[in-house]
Amino acid sequence: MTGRAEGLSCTGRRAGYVVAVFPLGQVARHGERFARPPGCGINQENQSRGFMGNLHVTMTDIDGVKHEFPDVEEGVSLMELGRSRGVAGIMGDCGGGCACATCHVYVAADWWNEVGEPDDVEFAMLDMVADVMKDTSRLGCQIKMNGNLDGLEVTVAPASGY
Amino acid sequence: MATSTQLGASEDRISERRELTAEEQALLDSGSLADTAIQAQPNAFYRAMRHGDPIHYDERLGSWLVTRHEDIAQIQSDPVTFSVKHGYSEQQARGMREEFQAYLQEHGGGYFPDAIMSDPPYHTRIRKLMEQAFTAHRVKELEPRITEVVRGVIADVVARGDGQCDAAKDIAIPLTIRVIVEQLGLDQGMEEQISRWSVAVTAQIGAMQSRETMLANAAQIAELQQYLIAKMKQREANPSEDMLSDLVHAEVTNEDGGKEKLTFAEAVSLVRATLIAGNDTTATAIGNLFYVLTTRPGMAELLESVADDDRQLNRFVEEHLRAEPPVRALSRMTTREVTVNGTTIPAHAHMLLVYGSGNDDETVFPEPRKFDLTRPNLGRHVAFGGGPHRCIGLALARMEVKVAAREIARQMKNLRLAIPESTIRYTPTVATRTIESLPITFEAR
Repeated sequence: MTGRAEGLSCTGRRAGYVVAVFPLGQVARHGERFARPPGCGINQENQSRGFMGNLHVTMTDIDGVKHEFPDVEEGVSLMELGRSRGVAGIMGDCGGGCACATCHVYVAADWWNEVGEPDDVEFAMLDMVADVMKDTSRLGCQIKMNGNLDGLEVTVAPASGY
Repeated sequence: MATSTQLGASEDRISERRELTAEEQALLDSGSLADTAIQAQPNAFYRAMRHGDPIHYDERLGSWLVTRHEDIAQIQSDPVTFSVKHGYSEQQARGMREEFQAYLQEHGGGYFPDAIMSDPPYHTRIRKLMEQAFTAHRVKELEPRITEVVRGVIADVVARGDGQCDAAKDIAIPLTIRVIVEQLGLDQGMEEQISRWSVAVTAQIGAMQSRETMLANAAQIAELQQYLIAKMKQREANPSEDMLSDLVHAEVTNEDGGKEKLTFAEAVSLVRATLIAGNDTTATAIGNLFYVLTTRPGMAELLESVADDDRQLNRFVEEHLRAEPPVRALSRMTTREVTVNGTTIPAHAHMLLVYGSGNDDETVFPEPRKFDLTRPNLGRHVAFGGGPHRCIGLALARMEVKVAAREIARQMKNLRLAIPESTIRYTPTVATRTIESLPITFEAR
């Protein structure tokens, strides 16, 4: 097989993301979550690194709390953003591989055209959480910030149901 | 079930226990996951625990069995209270770990603790290094090549012309080994050894070894390590385009932003983990697929009807992983006394998250024994675990099972079990539910 296992090559990885970020809240079921585990809270250092940009994102979490992030760097995914800032409902278990649907968001209608449709691989993953999938569903790990998305608004989807 | 869980109050969460029948109570009282008959047909035991005593202390094993989906989800979201590092290391060569380690030190080029079976923040850095290797998009790019490999393995079996084979040994095992060997950059044609080595490695977390079998397995692992070390030394001097070279030369980024090269011991452990995890459980999933195709009415027809529909085939694979999860249970250890769903577990207690039971939890998956492609919450199953330790190779595993399912439907028909179902042997282990050998008959399509 040709093609290098890209993830294992360190060259070209963006310094600053590869730090101890950690999923905080765990969605238990609709509108609920388990306690934040002690000892693995937000890495404060990380908050000031990797997010030195000036793009604005509004993210409403599964508890209905609206988070404003005015300092997002280009290239950061919504999963990385939500996970590093402890946004309830963004877990990113698979690490951004489009393989677990634990960073599912609904894109605000005004932004849908700019963000665009999921590709087939992403759609297949969203189909696994069909009960909470909507027309504006995307996986946060597949939305990377850029200048055109400055001001983006999303709402974190609840976990697939019990 | 729980009605409310508040932030910081999860230790108060208690969900309803259900009344057990006398038969279920007897099973709960006398059963153990260390019992090979229960390992082979575990669902009634799982159900008795799940209903009556959802976090059940298995005295024979000395482990707390976590059987409800909600409790598994809670525990895997808290890797600090529930340590993988300590859980795994306690489980490894259970009761004989010192002798196991000493053997590998002496004969295996060293004892290399599994870098990925660790706790944050160290785990987070190691994991970050590995997690882009098998993203769903990269795996999608590999699909044509995986198809070629799988098609070849099945075509060779069909071409033998006698209409019979061992679906586990002739198809499932060589197929998954060929795929991961190609990715890593190891040698092809070593399926027999690699299969033997894989069994020896996974036996270490199976909690079923005698001293004799532990030592025999340790000898296999020593051989595996010597092979990997030689390959890695080669790549250290002459890198090529494969994961082996990448891992030998990989650096992790520390919390302070500084980069540090993986130690050789860490790299050996990661290559070993990728090789073993990359073949053993996926082969089990494909073996289980042959099992359901030959024993469950309507399954072969169902597969045939979805084989050319990508979306339905994805759902078929996911429901198969839910209904027949290859990994039965994996370890955690409490780092403090903690109460989960009304059960207080002491500090330093060994636990098993019983994925096989979580996937059968009727409060999440109604009629769990029904194979239902239309479930709206398929992605909720815990066959790959969850939380920060969720299986890193999940996209690759799904793809291999999917391609295998498609190729079976295209090349084989009238699949039948060639032995009585009651004689199927499962590997004695608490960790997986693996059919060791599955003789079948079939016709070429």
